[in-house]
Amino acid sequence: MMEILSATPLATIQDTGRHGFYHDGVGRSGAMDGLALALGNGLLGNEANAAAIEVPLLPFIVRFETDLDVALTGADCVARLDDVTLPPDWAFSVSAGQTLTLSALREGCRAYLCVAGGIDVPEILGSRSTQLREAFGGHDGRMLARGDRLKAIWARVGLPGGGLGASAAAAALPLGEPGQTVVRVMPGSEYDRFTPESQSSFWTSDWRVTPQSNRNGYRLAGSALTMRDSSELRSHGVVPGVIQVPGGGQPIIQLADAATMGGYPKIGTVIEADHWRLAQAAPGATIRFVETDVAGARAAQAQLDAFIADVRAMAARQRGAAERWS
Amino acid sequence: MSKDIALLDDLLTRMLAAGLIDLDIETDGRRIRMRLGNGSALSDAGEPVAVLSSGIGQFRAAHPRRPGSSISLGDTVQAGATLGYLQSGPTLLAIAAPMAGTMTEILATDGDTVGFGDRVFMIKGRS
Repeated sequence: MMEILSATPLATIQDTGRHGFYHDGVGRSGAMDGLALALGNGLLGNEANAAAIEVPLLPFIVRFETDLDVALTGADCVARLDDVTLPPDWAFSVSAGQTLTLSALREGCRAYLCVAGGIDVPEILGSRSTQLREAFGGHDGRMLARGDRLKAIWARVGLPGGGLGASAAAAALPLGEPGQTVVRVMPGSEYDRFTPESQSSFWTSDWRVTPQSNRNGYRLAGSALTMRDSSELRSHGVVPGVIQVPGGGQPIIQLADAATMGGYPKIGTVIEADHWRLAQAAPGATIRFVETDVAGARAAQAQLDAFIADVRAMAARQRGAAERWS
Repeated sequence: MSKDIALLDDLLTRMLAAGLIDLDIETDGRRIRMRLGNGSALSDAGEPVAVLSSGIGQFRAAHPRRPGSSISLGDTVQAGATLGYLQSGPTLLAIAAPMAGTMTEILATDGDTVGFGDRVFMIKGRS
């Protein structure tokens, strides 16, 4: 059991998302940075879809009322367990009465607190994710607030004494220059209706993440994209990653809490294997798009899955070695 | 013989870190029992104490996401603080301070392969 002592708005419980209800108008939800969730759950030996707390704004302070093993992944922030500083992407043991404080961000913008077995909230439509717009799932269908008390499904997972970490995802899966956010994009169904100049500037411009960016989507700012014709479109299905271009020519990337339908032209889609990169791009950061195709997207997903599987397998060995010593 | 000493040294470090006074384990077909007397030698002597590697891997002086954050000679360390890392494939183990004190020796260089029970740091208690 743990109690939230301080939470800025927008902290929510998320797992890998709610799949298979698009026909009912229920979007995917789920962790924005699915890789951070996978690494945290992998370090702890949890099921892949165990629920964690997604923390997009700091500070976040939680006090543990019982002994528990947890993992902190995603954004690198100043994190302390009582007064001991914690490394990033780290699984560690906490004792009843200890307090975890996440304060200033160093890199990235979303931290994930995973717990042994996952956060124990009811599964609704096959997921524990918070469906914010429809107000169900997670903790009472809402953002976490001070005083909320949450329970983990397990307690201890046999971590080594000093803790257990995953190596940096950005170093294991490099794309572009260090510190730069580059994501791979497949051209969308209306790509050919944009002017050649706009098609070219889409791939070559820096796109700035504006403050009007959240779990629904990121509004980007850059050179306006124009179409050769402006005929109306009917509404069509939209999935996380779709890049729409409304009338003003400034793109929107639809993300975890995107509506299931929309009528804006689609210039492209960010491949799923790169969504974690977007999740850690804070307002003010710039994004670059590079073109890929279905084969490229599949290869990227295979590489991402292999990294997660490696961490999970080696973490299991390290926990096994620690168990024999306990 | 030196391996046995390293093993006993490691067990002692772990006992102190965990606050155990009595230990009884079986490893590699042998049974080892250790019991600490009153007033452990460590805190009284003021002699530097070895911090041992708890596994096999490559020594990392700083976390890969925090280059330049490595510990220096003379730094004050808290009990339980991470002094360095041991990289094994895509995972990292912490080399943690068994007690509060001052860093007096750094015995491994970034990238060195270290084995179970190797001495990595020497720290001197505050007493």
